[in-house]
Amino acid sequence: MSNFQEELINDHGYENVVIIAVGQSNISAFNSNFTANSDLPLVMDQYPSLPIRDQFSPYGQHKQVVIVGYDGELLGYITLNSGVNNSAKNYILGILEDNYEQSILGDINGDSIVNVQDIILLVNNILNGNDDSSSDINSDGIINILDIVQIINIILG
Amino acid sequence: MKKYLIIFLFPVFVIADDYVYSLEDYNSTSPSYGLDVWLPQYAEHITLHYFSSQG
Repeated sequence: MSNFQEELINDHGYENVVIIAVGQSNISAFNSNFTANSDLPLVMDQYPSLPIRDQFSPYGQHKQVVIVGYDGELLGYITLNSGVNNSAKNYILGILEDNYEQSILGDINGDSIVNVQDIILLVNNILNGNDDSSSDINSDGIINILDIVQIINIILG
Repeated sequence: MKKYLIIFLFPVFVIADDYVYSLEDYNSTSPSYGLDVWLPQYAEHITLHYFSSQG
């Protein structure tokens, strides 16, 4: 699955898509078999009540991938009995193509427009030490005055 | 009319928030290790939840 995550980002540009592993109770067993040495987040459902599975029911069965949109809505599900094969990839890519929203550089507040409101938000993030990745306009890993200059340049065109 | 509209819309809002949880990320090699996912860490992401009975 970590390879598929990299494929989604590098080959398809889906940077804001993440695969989350949902185990049950034994962290070490699931981590070593699934997420070890990968960058996939891993959360553990609490056995025996399994509140996450209860929430996702009737989905969330063994080897099932449940795709959830920005607002927590169900977009689709598929069971990976044969791993992430081409059929599974095509199904997932189809859902992402229909639902993925490309982020706009400088659109920090997510309203699809880059304007003075984004500058205000950026300044607040700098002053408050908020390391929101969307504020790192020049992608240098630091949020500072250079990002403000960059966002002004974007607005001025 | 307004009453019927509220009755009609209420289940939609309930359903829209069905798939929301916030639990600690236990994978030490994940960028969100130690933080809560998928809320708030991945609130602006489409999330693929891979379930396994392992563990």
